[in-house]
Amino acid sequence: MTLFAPSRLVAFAALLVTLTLHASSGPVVTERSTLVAVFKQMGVAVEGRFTDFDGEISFDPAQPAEGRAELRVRTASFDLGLPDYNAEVRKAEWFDSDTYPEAVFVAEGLTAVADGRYRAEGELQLKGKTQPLSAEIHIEVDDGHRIFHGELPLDRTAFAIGDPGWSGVVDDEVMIKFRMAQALP
Amino acid sequence: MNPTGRYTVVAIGLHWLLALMIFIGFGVGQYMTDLAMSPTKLKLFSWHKWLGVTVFAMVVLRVAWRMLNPPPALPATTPAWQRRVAAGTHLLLYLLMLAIPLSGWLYSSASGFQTVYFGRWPLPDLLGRDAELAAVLKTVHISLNNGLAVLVLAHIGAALKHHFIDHDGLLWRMWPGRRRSLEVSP
Repeated sequence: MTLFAPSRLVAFAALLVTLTLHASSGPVVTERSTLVAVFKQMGVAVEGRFTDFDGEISFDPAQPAEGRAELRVRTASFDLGLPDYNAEVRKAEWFDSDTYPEAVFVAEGLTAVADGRYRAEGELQLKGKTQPLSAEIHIEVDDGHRIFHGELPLDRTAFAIGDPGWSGVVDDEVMIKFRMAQALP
Repeated sequence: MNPTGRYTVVAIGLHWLLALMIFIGFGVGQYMTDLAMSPTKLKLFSWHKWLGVTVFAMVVLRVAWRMLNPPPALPATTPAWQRRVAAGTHLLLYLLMLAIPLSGWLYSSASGFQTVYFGRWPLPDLLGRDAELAAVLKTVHISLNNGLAVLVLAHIGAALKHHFIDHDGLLWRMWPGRRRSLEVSP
């Protein structure tokens, strides 16, 4: 039997369909997930990533409105690749990681936008402030995992991140790029 | 050869403008690295890089101008060894004025920070972020600057020696203004 025998192809297609349509519920697989923030400093794009986060997602392609996601992010894990930058962003005028160690994002209910694309409405609690968020999420299946990925702009000043002395040096807008993986059953 | 015995106005202008910019860039570079993280520090880093890009571009222009407009001849009495030392020093000064901004640009890229000229025009990153390479390039950037500082001191010392000891009028070749005629040595 060759790899491309019709029976194999049918079985493979059936497997793909099953995986894609399968409802999934469970923890975020952090080794396969990334959470990146990109901002501009004096016109220079600087990228940092949160290395410590966890969360749970439940998603049923048949009932996206029932979907729910919660993500908890340790702000002190933000890694810009340079020690003095990392020390700076933990300070009170930025994340104030000692007082507010964790940021929490909760989304409930997805609306289908197009094939594999959904809109999620949620709330982000960061540095003691809660703001509504809306993001488009791409959902696809890859290597036995369901991947939720997308990007959304945040206004850092809405969360009092960075004191006014930094305005004009660091842009207000921060682009969040997320890629969350969840094991399929 | 330049029949007036002086550098052209363009060459004189570029020389002194570059001297000013290099002194400022050198001073800012020394000062900013010791600062604690602050908006001022990041501004100074950016200004330092923009200045370096400008210096590089102006040195390229200056070299092109020099090729099209050869410098005035040295006084006929200048000994051969002095001609050789002067030519070698000038060549090294030009090389360093090009190599220092280049090393700074590469150092910035290796540190993970793209150089964005005036915060608007991004220069390509020839190197990706690499902490070890960044440390090497930092040393290179500083060493080249120390080398430049030594050569500039020698350059200034030689000019002053010609002016105050030899009285050969060599300094007027590069001095701004139109009033002086060159005192040609006998």
